[in-house]
Amino acid sequence: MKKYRQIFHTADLGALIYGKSMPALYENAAYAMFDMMTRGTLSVKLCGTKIKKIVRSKGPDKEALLVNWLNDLLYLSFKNKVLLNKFKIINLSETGLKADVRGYVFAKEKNPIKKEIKAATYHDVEIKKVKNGHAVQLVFDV
Amino acid sequence: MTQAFSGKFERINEYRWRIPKSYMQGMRVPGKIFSSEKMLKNIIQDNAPQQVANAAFLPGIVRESMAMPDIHWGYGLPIGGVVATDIDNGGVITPGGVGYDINCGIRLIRTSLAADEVRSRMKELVDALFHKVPTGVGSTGKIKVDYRGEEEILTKGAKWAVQKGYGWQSDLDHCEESGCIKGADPTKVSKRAYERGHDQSGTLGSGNHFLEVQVVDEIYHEDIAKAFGIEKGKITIMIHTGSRGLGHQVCGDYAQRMISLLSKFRIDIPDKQLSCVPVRSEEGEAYLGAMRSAANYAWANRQVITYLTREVFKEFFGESAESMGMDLVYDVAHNIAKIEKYELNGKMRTLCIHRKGATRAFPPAHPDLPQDYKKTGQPVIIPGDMGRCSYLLAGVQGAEETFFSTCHGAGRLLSRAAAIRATRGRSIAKELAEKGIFVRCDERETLHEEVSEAYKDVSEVVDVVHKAGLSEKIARMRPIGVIKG
Repeated sequence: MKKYRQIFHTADLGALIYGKSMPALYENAAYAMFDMMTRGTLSVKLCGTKIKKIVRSKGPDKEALLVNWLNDLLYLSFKNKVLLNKFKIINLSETGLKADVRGYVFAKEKNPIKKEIKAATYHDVEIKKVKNGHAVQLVFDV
Repeated sequence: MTQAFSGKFERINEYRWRIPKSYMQGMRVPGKIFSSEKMLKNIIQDNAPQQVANAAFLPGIVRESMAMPDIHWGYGLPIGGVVATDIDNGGVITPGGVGYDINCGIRLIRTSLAADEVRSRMKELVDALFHKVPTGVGSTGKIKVDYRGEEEILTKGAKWAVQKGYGWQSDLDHCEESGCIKGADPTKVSKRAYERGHDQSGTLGSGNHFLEVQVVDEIYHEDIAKAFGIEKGKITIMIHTGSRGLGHQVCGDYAQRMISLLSKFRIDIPDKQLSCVPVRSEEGEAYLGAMRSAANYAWANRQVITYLTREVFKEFFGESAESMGMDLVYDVAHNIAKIEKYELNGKMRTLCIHRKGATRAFPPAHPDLPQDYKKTGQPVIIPGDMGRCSYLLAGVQGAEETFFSTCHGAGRLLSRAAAIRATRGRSIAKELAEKGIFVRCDERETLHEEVSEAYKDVSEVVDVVHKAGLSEKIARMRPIGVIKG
């Protein structure tokens, strides 16, 4: 199953995210966001100083939780100037999650962020059941 | 997600189209889009009119949910949206009606330099600007401030920059809100936002933000152009940027908080990105205080970039910025919520005006205008795309209809991905150079995303607001040098 595909959005970036399970959907959404920030090169071998963090996010429902998780990762990335590429959900409920995230210290030549994403938005977010799992459409402000 | 708008418009006149209240149950007022018939065909291609209808659900909304001719699909409110709520009648404020880039805005600097003096050295000038003004994703500036310093920026805005020597007193006179909006409350700005903002002052950022060197190539109103210091054949400089990571974080923090407050205030809206709270509530006041802080950060940012630009010109031409007449014509915000007073049904009302991708445009004699613009009306700066042109307009009395708001730019036509696909294999920088426009960009693909074809023709947008009586055309400027993030 493909993790995501980019979809048309006039002003911003849109993505349709897939996941076999709910944790996989959250992990793939994070992957999609950073993959778009590197213009589709996140799967290329990164190098440099590695980082590892535990992230905890909260939200009033599963959709808001998903958006909050992505924005928590953006904050982590900009604050620490790191590019994240591995995401493992450890615990997930409707209103909270704990995850192990990994990545590399941002270096323009080695691990470039080529596209700034300002935020993941709550615009029309709805997690839907689809054949083989779950899907959600997300709009990112760029 | 890509479906065209399927609702029906009622034609009000040549440039006004109504979405009736009956379109969706729950709309408190009708929607109104300013557009020509020709442009409307593009507008309905994406779902932006639906977002106009969604905004009509906001509690306390008055008159109409409006959109300018540069309307396109955003999140929450569409880009180009104007919404006013009556704050003494339960009117709300929504971060989705301002956007993540709080006080994204634009300023225009005039010069007394003739284009002919500059054109032959344009490539070197663009290189010098690119070297001096930090651009690109996560770019950091030379100005590093501690927590107290950042707090001062959030409180004082462009005034902070001028006090530090990064500008002139006259710059402040020619800024919306004098570059420092009152009521900023830095204690309502999160630690996260502070962290994202501390090293980004004086940076352009990326995406559609830019610094352009332009030539005035057409004057439509001689007297007002003269009053604005604009002369045909002379060089102008345009700066487009906002509040960077600090503003993005403020919007994110409050959008997140307001989603959890919808049930408390019993607010029902069709899009979570329009989550809102009454302006007159503890939470509404908190967002206003934080949003104004971010707005001040953006004004300081554009002021510092102005300083860097003047420094480059000074070194490059060997003259002082003063002797080259590098005065600020004006600086406008186009992503902001403001508290303004208007007469509605014979009564003076205090309104919260959300302008998201829309520009305030005060008419002549408005009390908030500086003395030298009292006769002309407010200068309104409308950037186009990097290959065509930009406009200088003036505010007019007719825009009372829109709470003195007008368009903010060209408005996108193609998504970024579609623009990249459509221009694959082309060298945009080379094409622009052949047209006499030198461009430096941090990321090559940004040039593809920002290619002219990706935008509506700004001349059509400006013609609509001019003919609809929302503002008056004063001058047109063409780019000859561009730096982008």
